[in-house]
Amino acid sequence: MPNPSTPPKTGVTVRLAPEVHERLKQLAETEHRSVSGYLEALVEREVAARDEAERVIRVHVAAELAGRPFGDPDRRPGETEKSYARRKKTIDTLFGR
Amino acid sequence: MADPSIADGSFVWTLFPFGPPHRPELPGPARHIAYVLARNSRQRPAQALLAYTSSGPWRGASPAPPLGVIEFSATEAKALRQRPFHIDLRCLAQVPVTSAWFPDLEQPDHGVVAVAGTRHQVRIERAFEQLVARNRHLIEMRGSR
Repeated sequence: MPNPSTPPKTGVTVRLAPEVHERLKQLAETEHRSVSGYLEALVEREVAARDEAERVIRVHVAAELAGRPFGDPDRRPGETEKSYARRKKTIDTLFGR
Repeated sequence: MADPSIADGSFVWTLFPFGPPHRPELPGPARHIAYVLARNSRQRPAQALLAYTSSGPWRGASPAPPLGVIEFSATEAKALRQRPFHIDLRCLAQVPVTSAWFPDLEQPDHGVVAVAGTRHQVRIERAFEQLVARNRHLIEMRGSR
């Protein structure tokens, strides 16, 4: 019986070359899935991978700075001790200090 | 000599490093405006921590900007004399403040095109804090370490 809290799934038509379809059938069998179920799992994996990739911070470090940590950021004019400590902590966390 | 006018909160012309096919530890192939998240002037040369910016609204896979992406509306951008853009705090660069990375460093304005007001700086810093505090394994260093 359908769960009333789960919205119905939307169907999508996919056209594949015969050799791709045949390969897909073989792959689906290894996971004990139908072709349709296998395709659905593939899409869900891809979406999850993209979401995960969007969470990563990438820091490009210049060649000249190899082995030179960023150190303490400049203090801004008039900045409070609390504000500076907060900013410094974030920088330290970024660079693993 | 590095100029202290490229301070935190500046939007400045850089040669922001890109990933493949370019090398992440070398200046990028094209001029690009970046946001200066922090600077350390005690080092020689001084160092800057830059965040990537891009024109227009967020155009990623997710419908809403993810944590770390901050959109500047037309009104907010206009106050900075810019077109609408977004900052992506997930794409950062640690670079020396030299002409190799800041092509307009020797110009009178040092390549600074605008400076974020305090309100925007705080907004960016809070998002940066949240982003960095999540999980150490989600921080990936590229290039030289």
